[in-house]
Amino acid sequence: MKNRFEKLTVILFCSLLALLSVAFLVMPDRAFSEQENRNLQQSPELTKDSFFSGQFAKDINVYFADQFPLRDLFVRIKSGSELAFLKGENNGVLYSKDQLAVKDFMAYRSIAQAPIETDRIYLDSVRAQTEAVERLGQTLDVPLVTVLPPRTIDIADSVFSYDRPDGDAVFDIFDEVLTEKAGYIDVLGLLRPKYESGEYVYYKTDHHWTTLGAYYVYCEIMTQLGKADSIIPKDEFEIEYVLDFSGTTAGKASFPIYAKDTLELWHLPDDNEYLINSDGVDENEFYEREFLDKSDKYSVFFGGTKAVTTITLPDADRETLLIAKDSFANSLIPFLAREFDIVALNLSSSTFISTFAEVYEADAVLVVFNVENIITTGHLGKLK
Amino acid sequence: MVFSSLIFIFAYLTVTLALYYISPLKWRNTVLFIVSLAFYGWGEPKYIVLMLISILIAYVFGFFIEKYRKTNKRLAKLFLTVSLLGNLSFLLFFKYYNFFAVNIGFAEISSLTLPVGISFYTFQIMSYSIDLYRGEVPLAKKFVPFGTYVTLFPQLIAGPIVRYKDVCDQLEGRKETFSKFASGVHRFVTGLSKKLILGDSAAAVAELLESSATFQPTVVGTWLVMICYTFHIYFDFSGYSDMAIGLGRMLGFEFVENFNYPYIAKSITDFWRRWHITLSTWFREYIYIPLGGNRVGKLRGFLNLATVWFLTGFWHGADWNYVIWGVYFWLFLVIEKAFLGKLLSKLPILGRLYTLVIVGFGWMIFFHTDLSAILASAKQLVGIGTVFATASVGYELLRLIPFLAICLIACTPLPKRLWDRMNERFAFMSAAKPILSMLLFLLCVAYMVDNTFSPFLYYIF
Repeated sequence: MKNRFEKLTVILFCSLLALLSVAFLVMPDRAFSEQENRNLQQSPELTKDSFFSGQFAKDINVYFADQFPLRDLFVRIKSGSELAFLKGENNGVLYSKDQLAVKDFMAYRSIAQAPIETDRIYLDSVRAQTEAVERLGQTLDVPLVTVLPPRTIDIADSVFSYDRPDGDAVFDIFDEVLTEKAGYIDVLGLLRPKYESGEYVYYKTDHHWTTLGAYYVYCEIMTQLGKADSIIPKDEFEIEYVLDFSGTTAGKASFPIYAKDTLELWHLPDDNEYLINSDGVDENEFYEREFLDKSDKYSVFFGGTKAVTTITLPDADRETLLIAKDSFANSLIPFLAREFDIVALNLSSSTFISTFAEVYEADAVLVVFNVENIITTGHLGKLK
Repeated sequence: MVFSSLIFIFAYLTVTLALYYISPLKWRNTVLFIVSLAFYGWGEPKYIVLMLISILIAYVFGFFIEKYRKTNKRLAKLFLTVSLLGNLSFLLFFKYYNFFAVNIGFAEISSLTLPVGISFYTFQIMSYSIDLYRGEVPLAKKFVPFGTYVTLFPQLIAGPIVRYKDVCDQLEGRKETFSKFASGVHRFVTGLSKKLILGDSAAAVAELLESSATFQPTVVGTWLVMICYTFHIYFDFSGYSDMAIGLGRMLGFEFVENFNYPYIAKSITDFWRRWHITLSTWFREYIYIPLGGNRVGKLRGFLNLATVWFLTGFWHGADWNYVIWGVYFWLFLVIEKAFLGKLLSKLPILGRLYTLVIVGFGWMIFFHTDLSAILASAKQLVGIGTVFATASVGYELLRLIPFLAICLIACTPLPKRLWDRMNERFAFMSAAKPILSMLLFLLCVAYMVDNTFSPFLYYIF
């Protein structure tokens, strides 16, 4: 009797080994994980150098994990198990019940899974970068508007049972360093109260602001540039709802239970035909609709981050707005394009803003770079 | 390669088990020898040669030792010395060269990396030469079984330190059975889950709390770090030993145990009978007893003990904190021998708490090569110049309580006792066991699939 179950153990274990090993070998490699919203490691190349340096051994470990049979299922089992320990987070993503919608709400705890106090490590760097923006404001001949979008955890900190002493230290530096010349818009002061009063300004499963959040920022920018009268009222838009959006934050955590977000596309009836050029490709739509069928739905705005995007309205004489940006600006640009001709540059690769402002004969400059990027890349400090 | 990786389990182990069991009996050692070399060479192939030379030295000199053992003791001793020095010189050079270069300042620091597992296999090889000289083991006549003994992949890189006399019978006369294989599977899965689900998580928490403490150290935070280190190293290392023993059984071997619930020890003396047992045994058999053990004068006895603990510390790493760590334990062992031991035996609960705190702080020494950091954490533990807690430490503490409670229970014999009792009580348990074991195995796979890669601690020794 006992022996029978011992045999069963051996047979089960060996079959699992054989089955999963063979399945790993036979199953085709995936390039992209929809669930986690990221590229997966492909088969590493075996060369003499890569083998002896140990790089091959390292890569093949990642390759095994990324291409393992039933990866998506295993990833969910693991995050479920982490939640079962009541740890309240997985892979550094916090999990909370949204106080208003009573739904799951997620935010990166911070970069690199470090505690939020580590913001303090970066305060000097943040200050130096902010000073670079201020200098840019002083030297530019045209008005500058600075938008530094907060992280989800900054906006929605009230729902996380996560104490953050000096959590707003980064924003205090912005307030302190940036003068009128930089045209700083306090997005935290603008959107946090709106979030707390129940407005859907940041996604739950993605690190970006929603279209509504972007709209509020658009109104501020317009006011800042003296165009308050030309702000398009909210009720003139027809809103198209895209359901089942699960963003990058959810991808990192893979919590087995979570709400989906709704992504909104705001259309104007009788809109003009704009000429849009993204990295040399002509388009005439703000939205690249094929992304709506993919998991990376936020890329519906201009197909994700491009090096250069220009938007013009043929036969119209409009002011030009130069935007140095990251992906947060992608959902903001459609609003601004109704007022300005747009030249949008990826801030991480184009830092000579004053030169570009002259080249493109810009009438104003807008900087959009989010706090996570400021902390992790330091690119904002290179603005000139 | 580490055991808790997908590539080990779903490529290496699959192929190894298949090759091993389709080979005819007489070929199995050769198969094991070859696959073990492949295991070792994975990632850093150049040190295979070094290991083979070590094996060759002990193997060849073995013949000389055996030849003169009875007839010419002095000559046999000479050959033994040469053999041991040959092996030790590799260990000394690769592990301690930089330490001496820095501290004595005679040479440039070399950029050589430490050959994986050298501290373990050198000790294994030495056990053969010494025991052969003592006449406690037969001469290893064939090279392949002896090479297999040293390179045997389950215990090659992080123990248990299997002495030749413990396995020499098994090298050429072991029996693989379903029953052994099955118990090996259960043991392997147990070790895997200890390492992946508990050990790695505890390590991650310790790291998180330490980085947070660089800004605002707190009493509670430092205690949490100490507790997490304590769990981390136990689940990591005993998990590894479990996996090694389990893998050994799958191949028909029976290795000695390496841990016996060390955290329920009632004194430091008791702790070291339960922690890394094969290492303590090695030091006792080959250093302490030859020095005269405790059958000498009191002062000499303490000195012998000091030598052993200095070496134990130094074996763990070529840095001062490991030496301090060894001497630290020597100090408590001496105090216990002198008077504390008798007192503690009457107060088992107090004894356990005392042991845990001393051992826990020992891990703080162990993990910090920076001596001033050790002093600082000692101050933080007792609250000198440190705030008691901050809200963020409170947040971490609250969310970690369930996890830490599970870790605490997992350190005791309770889960095993419960398991055994259920097996006696309920007939269906013997049927449930394979299923539960496989579910746990799949959970471990999930942790490996979604994991930042984390090698074993003892991998670096």
